[in-house]
Amino acid sequence: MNTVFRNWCRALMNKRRVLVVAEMLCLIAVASVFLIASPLALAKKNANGGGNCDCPPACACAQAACAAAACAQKAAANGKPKKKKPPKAATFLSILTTVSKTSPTTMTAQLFNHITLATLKKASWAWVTVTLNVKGKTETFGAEAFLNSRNRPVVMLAEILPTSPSVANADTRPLTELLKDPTLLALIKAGNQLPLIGIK
Amino acid sequence: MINSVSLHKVGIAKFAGLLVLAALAVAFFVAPIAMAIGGGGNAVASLNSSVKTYFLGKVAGRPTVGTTLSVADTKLALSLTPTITSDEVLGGSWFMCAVKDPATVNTFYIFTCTVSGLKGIKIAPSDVTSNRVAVILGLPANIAATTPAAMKYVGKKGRLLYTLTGNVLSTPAPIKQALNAAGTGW
Repeated sequence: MNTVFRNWCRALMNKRRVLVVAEMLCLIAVASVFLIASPLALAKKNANGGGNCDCPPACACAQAACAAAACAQKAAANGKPKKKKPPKAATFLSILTTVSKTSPTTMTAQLFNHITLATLKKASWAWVTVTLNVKGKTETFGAEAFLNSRNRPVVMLAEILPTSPSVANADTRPLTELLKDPTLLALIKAGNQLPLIGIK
Repeated sequence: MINSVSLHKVGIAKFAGLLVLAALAVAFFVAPIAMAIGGGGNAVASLNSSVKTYFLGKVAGRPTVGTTLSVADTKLALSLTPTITSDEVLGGSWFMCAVKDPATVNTFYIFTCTVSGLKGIKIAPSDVTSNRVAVILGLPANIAATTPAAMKYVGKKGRLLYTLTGNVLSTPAPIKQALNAAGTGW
């Protein structure tokens, strides 16, 4: 039995075979790191703010595990996980088409109150007017409309405009006052993308 | 009998292993990074560097005092400020731009533009002084007078060219003259 085992070991430990086996093990180890580390690094990024652990910053796996655990604890403590607030959507009003210069400092833009997704594909970054609910009041903005990386219509707010009193919950303050409103100014300065609704 | 693996087979195994590793690296590292970069902002195509974009003025919506904007309106009054201070150059704001046709001597197309940084949409104050402001072209001011070739500029990003005197941005003087000479009305 002893001799059989010794022979088996000798055959197994053939120098070249050991090298090949070692190399294959290395490959499997590296592949495993690729498979495990990358998704965890992403999870760590997603779980940002979920919790802080005193893990070494280089240890992505530990950080991710900590963040996930802290997130789970927080959710358990609150009874149920917090629902993410859906982003506010801007409602399409009109698209600015022909722009004419009427004096050195004034212009007039033609408005067209119909736009389709196909038009938006061609007229990317077109100027539009939209309405948005801000603190329960309907506000009107000038904005740029385009399709985001997921091909969804979005706008970026650029200008504060007065709202028609005929619109429900319209903010009827004069334009001069609207232009000084810090909430509205923050919205146009943020450069955030808002989903655009009301297009065909 | 000695079971041995030929060197040729070992070489093939090594090469195959390397290929597998490279594929894994692309699938799990390069692709997510590329997606993250692409998803962070919108991948706006760049204008050809031969197409020059010049500043004409900052635009603001200024309906006549006392009036409001409704769905039924067909016109919107806008103001154009041909000279602005550098702190008024904000990412996302509206500018009018003149785009010079690279194929002709003195042909310009007037476009609505959105101010942007060269990479993201935001602009740092130093970007204005170091001429690192870009614009994303929207629709031309007059679609009917724009050639199909120039219509292809819509939705593309290009570096904005302007004259900065002290803290004030304006249209470069030779471009102003060329726009006048071309009879653009701008």
